[in-house]
Amino acid sequence: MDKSGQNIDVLIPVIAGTLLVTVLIVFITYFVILYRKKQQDFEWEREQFKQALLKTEIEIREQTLSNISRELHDNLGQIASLIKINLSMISKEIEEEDQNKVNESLELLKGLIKDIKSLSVSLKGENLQRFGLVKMIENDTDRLKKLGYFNVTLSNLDLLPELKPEIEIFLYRMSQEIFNNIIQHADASEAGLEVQKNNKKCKLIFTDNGQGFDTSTNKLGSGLINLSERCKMIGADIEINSQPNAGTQINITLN
Amino acid sequence: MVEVVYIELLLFGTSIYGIVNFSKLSTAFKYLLTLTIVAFFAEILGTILSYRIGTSYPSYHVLSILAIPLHTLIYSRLVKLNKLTLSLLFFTGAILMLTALINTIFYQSMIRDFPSNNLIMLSLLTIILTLVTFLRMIKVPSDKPLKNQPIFWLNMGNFIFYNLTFFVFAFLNHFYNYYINWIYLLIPLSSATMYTMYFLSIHTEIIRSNNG
Repeated sequence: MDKSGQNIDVLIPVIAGTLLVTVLIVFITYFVILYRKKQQDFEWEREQFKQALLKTEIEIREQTLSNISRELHDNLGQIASLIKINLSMISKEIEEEDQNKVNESLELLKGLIKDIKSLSVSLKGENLQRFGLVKMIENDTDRLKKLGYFNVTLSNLDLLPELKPEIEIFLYRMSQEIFNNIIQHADASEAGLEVQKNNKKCKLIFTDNGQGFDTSTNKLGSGLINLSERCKMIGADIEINSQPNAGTQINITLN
Repeated sequence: MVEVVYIELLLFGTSIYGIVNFSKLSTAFKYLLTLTIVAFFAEILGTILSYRIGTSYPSYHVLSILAIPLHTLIYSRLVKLNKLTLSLLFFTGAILMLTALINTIFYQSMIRDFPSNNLIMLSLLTIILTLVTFLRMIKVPSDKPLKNQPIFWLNMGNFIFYNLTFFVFAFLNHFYNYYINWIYLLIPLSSATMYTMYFLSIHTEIIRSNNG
């Protein structure tokens, strides 16, 4: 073999080897970078899809609640009102002894009609625009107090800023969910909602003196998961602090 | 010699680890475990034959023939393929295995020749399969980090080893005169890399199974 042939034999593997190693390194690096980017895109799409699904679910729920509210107001409320009129008429025609019983029933019926109206108002999300978030929360907490579940203290609700209607409805439903959780699981005698405002952030602090739970071991129930997802949808942060026999505190921070 | 001992120990450890956790492995990784066990016995046989008859070629002939269907089976389970592509893959695997068998029986002697033709066919098949798998991974990414994905380690091991193997055989004539010592170093090193990644692959698969 001549000198040039030997040189080629020496050079070709070196050049080819360097090329191959370079290609392998570039390929692997490119794959890893591309994969991470795709993972982020996929995650974003998945999140968008999840949020769209949740939004649809919430819209359907709002529609259903609105229908129930209308039914309560238009049907049950009307029937109860008719019964009230009939009882009023009957009470005039019967003997004095029986009148007391009818009057008692009338009082109960008045309470029922009031509760139906109050429940109907709280179920209908559209009422938020009519009455405002603060009034609606007050209406709900008044009802809870009257029903004897627990005492509710509201502080600084007037610090709540003006919010978009869709955010208001989320906050309102979240407050209902939280109070509902207190009724179902906390066994509390006192509950509270305080609003704190700091710079551009507004914090809603829900508290109760109930039995609490261990946040480190207990898996979050569907109610609390719902809250977290709703917070994510409106760009709010949620913090849940609780300990067994030491009550629960839920902070929702609006950014 | 150190590389050979490392490879044999690694294959032995991976095989035992896989057998102990056999029920936790998905079908593709059961085939990978089978390949690891076959590779372990082939390496041991190769060492014994080297001492006894002065060549380890027969074990590599057997390994290269068996690796073709095993890789076909592994990737047929790893990547979701439609019926036509799956049939094509099995057909290609069968043809390549048959060709490797014919090559060993009639062309490259089991005693005298290294099964380079078999390895070139195996390399081509595996490189194509790894590329297809990489493409599928990009199209449908998992939410887990790459290092926690068994398919990633398996693919990386195969991709590096078979590309280097293909390269070595493609330039064998040029290598032979001046770089033969390099080849004797490069091939065991890339084998060790591949088998280490097989171990990582089986290990991450077991962890994945443990985490549900």
